[in-house]
Amino acid sequence: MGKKWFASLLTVLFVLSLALVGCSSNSSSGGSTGKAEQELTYATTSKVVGLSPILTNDSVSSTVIEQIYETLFVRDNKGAIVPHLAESYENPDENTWVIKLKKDIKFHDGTPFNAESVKYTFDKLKDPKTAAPRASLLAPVSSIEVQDEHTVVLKTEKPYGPMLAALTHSNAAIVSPTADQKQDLMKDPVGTGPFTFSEKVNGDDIVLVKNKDYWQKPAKLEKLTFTVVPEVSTAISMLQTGKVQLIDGLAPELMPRLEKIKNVDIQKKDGTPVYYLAFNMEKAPMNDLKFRQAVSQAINREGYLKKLNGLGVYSNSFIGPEVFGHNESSDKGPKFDQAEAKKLVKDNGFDKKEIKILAANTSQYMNMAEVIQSQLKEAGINANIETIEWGTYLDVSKKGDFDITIAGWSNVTGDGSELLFPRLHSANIDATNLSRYKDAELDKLIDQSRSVVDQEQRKEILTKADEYVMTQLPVLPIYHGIASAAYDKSVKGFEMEPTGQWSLYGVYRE
Amino acid sequence: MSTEVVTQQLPSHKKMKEFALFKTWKRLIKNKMAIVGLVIIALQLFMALAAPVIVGVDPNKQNLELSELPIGTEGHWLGTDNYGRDIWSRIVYGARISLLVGIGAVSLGLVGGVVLGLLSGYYRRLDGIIMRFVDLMFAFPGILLAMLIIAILGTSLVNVVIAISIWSIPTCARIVRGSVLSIKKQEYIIAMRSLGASDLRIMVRHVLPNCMAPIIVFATMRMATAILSTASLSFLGLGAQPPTPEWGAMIAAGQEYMWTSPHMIVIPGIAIMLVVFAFNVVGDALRDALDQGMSLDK
Amino acid sequence: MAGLIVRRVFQLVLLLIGISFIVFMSMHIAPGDPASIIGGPTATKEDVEAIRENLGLNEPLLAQYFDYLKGIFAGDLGFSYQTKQAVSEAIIDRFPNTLNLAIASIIVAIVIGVTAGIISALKHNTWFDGLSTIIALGGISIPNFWLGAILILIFAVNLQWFPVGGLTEPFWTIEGMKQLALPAITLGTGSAAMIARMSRSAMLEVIRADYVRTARAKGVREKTVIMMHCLRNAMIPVITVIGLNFGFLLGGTIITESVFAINGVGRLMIESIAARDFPMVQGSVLLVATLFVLVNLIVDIVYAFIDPRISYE
Repeated sequence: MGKKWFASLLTVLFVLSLALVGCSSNSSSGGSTGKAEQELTYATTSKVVGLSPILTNDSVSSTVIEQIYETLFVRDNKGAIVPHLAESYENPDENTWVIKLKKDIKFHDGTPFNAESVKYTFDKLKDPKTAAPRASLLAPVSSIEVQDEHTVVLKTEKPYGPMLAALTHSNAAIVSPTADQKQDLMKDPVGTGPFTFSEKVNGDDIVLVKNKDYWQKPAKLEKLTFTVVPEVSTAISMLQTGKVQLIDGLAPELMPRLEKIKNVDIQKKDGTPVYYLAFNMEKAPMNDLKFRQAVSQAINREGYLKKLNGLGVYSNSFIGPEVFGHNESSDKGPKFDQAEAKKLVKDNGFDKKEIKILAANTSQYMNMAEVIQSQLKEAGINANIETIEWGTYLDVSKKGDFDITIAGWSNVTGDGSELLFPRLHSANIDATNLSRYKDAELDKLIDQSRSVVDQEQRKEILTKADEYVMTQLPVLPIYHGIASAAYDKSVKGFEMEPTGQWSLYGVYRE
Repeated sequence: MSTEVVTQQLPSHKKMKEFALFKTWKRLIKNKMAIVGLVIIALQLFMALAAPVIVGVDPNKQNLELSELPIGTEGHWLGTDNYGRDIWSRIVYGARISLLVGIGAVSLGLVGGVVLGLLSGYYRRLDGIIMRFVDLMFAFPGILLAMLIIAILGTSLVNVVIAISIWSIPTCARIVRGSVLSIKKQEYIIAMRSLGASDLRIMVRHVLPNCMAPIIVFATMRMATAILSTASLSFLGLGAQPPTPEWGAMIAAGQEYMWTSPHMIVIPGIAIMLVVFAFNVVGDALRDALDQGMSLDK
Repeated sequence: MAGLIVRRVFQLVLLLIGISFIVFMSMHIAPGDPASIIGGPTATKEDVEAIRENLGLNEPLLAQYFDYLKGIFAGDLGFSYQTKQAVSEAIIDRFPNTLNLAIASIIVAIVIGVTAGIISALKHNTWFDGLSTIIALGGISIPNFWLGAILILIFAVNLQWFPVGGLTEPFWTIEGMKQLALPAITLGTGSAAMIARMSRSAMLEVIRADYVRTARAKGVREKTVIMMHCLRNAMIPVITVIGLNFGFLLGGTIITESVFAINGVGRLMIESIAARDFPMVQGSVLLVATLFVLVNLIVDIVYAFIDPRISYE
């Protein structure tokens, strides 16, 4: 025993860990075996719930739905909204949207794409009997009328500013009416997109093939497979060995490993998601502005970004840099200042109360919770973490059973109203407004941002609202997300959108 | 024949028992593997009790600048984790948690199992119902039962203890019931009953001591299972709440760093393995020793 | 024998009803609402309410349960809340994977366990015996998910002898066997260790038994003694352990399936519990419980054949 024993134990452990590191770093790439087959396999951690844009609202399903269906409008790679299935639009008045549709487009089942199919899709999405998870997307629309074969008219009761942004959302993709009446789109989807559904294999894997009759030039890839690999580290190994060619939504802790793999390219793009703390504004001491300031000053957000290995952007605003309504020059938010935070805590007796931080038990949220809890402790705030399953979290967080919660909002429409309205408008307390924030002034600004149709004016209102949020602090943005993907070097032409979504239309392998 | 010895010399019954225990102990420490196991358990116990003395560092103290330091770093001989926390101090404090969870889960399970086993072995009327209930619990995959219980109660270490303890009830109940059934028929018990001894007294004073041997073995082995199960539940994200330095949770968290900092999973993995191994070895050796040592009692 | 089977099947039905009730109750008592999960973080109150109504979750609890039971007796396991797929269909899709994994693991466990156990017993108190005991105990002590991760690291990524994960080929093909190898080892190790210990002690007991001594004294060849007299009798307790382990393996696939990306019933259970997808949880739990009981029934029947002294009448 004694020193010698200790030294040999140390050596054994050291050698063992070296051996394992060695294993991972000299491994050769087994991928890109030279065959330039136009096929691609994408791996996700959870299964596709279903393939109907009307009935699903999870990111994995929408990834597949994006390839099969199309929306009236899309965002181009600069974030501007441009017509896609639509040809053009006009507003005769603030409550009317006349949308002209492109001609000669057919669904995969041969049904022609026309105003009737748009009306059918939107009516179905809005029908309470459908129980569509994103029915709220078109809730402000009061009627959908067919003007002629290729013109559809949407009417609203009140002016609805984010209309176009809502129409870019994959849940507003157009489905084939004949197919929807005949079959279950969840299993057997029919859209107008560049890929058509082929089969479901091995339980959950979905195979798509090229749509030869696509209304634009057909896609270059012949066959796509969407496979489920629950453990990300397994998925990366499959990428390394060439069984999978594409993964996305990379976790920061995996970046060092991914960067070392020779046959893999990484793509990052500043994105629309925001990850933040929501304070429960109905409880003390969270309803005290001084407490929220203390918390905000106690957290070193710029320091946390370093832990993200380049997968986050710091911005002292709730509406992030890639979201409509962001203003570079506004910087009203709090800054990291531990001494000031300690003083606030001491002067106001915030160190006496135990604070519960609620987080869903996914690694991203748990990582944030652990760092934040530790930094709050340093400032004298006694915080405990409670992690719960994602499914329970959705319910518990909406009921407000927490003091502070770690939240995120991916904002697929990329519009600031679509962040502020669900997350901070008093109409959404007990639902998406986790902070349970009820503030007449902010409500007014948000309502304006939604009802004004002029986009420049909307931007000004959103910026004003954002500054207001950053001084009142019902939420504290920690960082803004970066859309990321890793793919085999043979994959070319892959381009992500700021929302983290992507189309494989222009992608090919060589 | 040993029964005769005991019944004939009733006054020295207690002494004989002590003698039997002593013999068991002697047999146990003759087994080299058992000694290794006992030493590991003693070490864990020592770490658990003296954690603050052994390490001066707070196991939850983060230092993002010094994260993922390798083994052998000055000041952190087992390195640091992704938040720059000292792994050695987390292992030492983790010993406390794994021991507490193990003891908690096993003793709760024993209480439940012993009560059910005694009732079912002793009262014929209850036997059918209780044993069907036990069958039902048997047919549930253990981890699934634990997952359901945690789904209901929420994620926390206390709930892990409850979930795992329920899981050991059926086996324990069967062991106790078996012993009760065989003892109940013995003449001295029948005699005592006819002399008017209460059921409770007979159960506690005579039946229970007689099934101590298999229960002790079971409990030791179960400690091993309990520690492993806690780790599995933590792996599924259903165990200890962060930043608790629970070993299984450390592996689960380290999994994503395994390619760049494998020590984050290797060290807690070895810790779990050693402790589980120790309880298994000791349980095994105890069974051998008790098989011969306690036979005087029967 | 027929009586035994009838009685057991009757018990099985009662057992399944009991289990289904427990699962039903726990899924409904548990916090979390399938409707808000389907709605996702973006859902408004109205969205969630519409989904609840649509799923029939606003009906009284017991009415929901009896509806479900009625369905079961009509052979209908219901539809998934989340994917709207028929539960029976989802399970049929995944079950072969789980069964393949469980069978491969039990084969690994039996081959390693029984061989090691018998050799240990025959070479009682030698270095082989000691070593195999240590390995056996070590085998039970390794956390499953840890072993899986390390095996992938070494054999799939570094040496590239086996694929990293997935189970897509049938098990009788070379590719299928390669895909099954690492998960089967991961899952089978624990059982191998248990079987090894059981066969060692059963063998030791038998070797010392009178009839074996008699056989030897009669001059029967050593090989015959081992094969005919010892093995057969020693295997009875071993078979119980194998039977029990097979049941545990079916449940134990939960973690292994996740680590190796195998799309089986175990993973279906985790996902459905997390999504509070009650019909799916219920269906898969009932399947696993039924199998567990059936396997043990088979074990009992095999007993009766191996050991003529046992009678269930």
